Amino acid sequence: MNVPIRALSWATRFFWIMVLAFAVTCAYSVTLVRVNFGEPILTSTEEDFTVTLPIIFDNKGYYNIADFNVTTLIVDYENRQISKAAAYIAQIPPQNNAIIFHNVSFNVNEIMTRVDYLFDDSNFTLYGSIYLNYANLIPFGFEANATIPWGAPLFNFTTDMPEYSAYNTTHLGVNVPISFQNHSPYFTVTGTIRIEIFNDRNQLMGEDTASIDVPSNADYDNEIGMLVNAGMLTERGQIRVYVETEMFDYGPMVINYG
Amino acid sequence: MDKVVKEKDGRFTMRIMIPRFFKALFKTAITYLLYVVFSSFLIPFEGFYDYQALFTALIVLFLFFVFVIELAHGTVFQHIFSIANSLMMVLYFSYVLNTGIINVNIEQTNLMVDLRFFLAILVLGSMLGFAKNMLKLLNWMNEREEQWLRYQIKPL
Repeated sequence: MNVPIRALSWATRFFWIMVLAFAVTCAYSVTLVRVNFGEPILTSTEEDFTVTLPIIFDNKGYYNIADFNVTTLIVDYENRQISKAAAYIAQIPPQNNAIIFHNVSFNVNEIMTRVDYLFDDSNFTLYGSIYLNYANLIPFGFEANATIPWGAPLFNFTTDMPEYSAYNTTHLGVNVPISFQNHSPYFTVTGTIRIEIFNDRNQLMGEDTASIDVPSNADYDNEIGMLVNAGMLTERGQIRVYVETEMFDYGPMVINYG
Repeated sequence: MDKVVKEKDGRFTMRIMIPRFFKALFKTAITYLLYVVFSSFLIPFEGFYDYQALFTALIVLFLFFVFVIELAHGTVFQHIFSIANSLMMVLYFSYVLNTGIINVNIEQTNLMVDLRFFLAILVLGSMLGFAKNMLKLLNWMNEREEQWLRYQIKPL
């Protein structure tokens, strides 16, 4: 019985040495893996706004990294999905590096159809996760979430009561004070504000367009003036406001006067 | 008279036990030093505090068995403790296997490591050790009986 016992002893010893060597080199190897993030690249089309984040994964360890998967999900305060993106690399061999371009796209039109995004500040939540299989043996996952503040581009949009002034015997000058704050840290509100004034018979009395260029975190406070036919003027009516910018179009915003 | 037979008679002398005690102490110290060296590789994983108690329990039990196995060298207790050690390892890794998915939450981040496959290998290795120690015990008892019989038959 001595020979099989000796063989079994050597097999056990060899087994534990291998396991210990693997555990130690694996633990040490993980410390040699470096993850760096490059400068985000912003690209935009008419419909989409894309943020490309280069992730440089430097595997200086001794073991293979397989099924490398990066996922990001951005949701709003009501848990509605705004953007979801994923990037995948099948293998990162040891002593190699890989650059992953993680593209996070936002459909601007879809975002801007939500009125509350235009007028109310909010917080979006970013869920990020990385999954990989280390040494083809140890699945590893990392999840994180962060809050992204959303600033409304037309925060506190206010249209005050029209102010009338005599222009001539047939026409009146009408000034509509408009103010808002661009709370968006991401873009400048550049475009036009168009105003139409209707009387209670729904007849267009006058209209005017003003160009706007409101940088991030700046206020807009202006009066848009136009001439209206004094004969058409009624005590009650409507002001319709249209905002047309590079990023979004909104309108009509209907304000009753009188 | 054979050493094994002496021990069967319970004649442990200080001349045998004192060097054995120091040998056991030395082996335990070497094992502990190996643990200290190994644990230095785990410094980057200090966030796994929840699992520190489990790991410490394993080390303490392992050091205890290294000490008592060496102290009981040449006796049936060496094999009994070796079997107990292997069995403890099988049970320990089986228990840890159930919690083999390690989750660490730090503020808004969550780290997950799935060690189930690795722990399954450890369970397999422990079972190999258990089988080896059982065989060793059988062999030891067999040899001891053979020697005892040889000793009894000799005067005839």
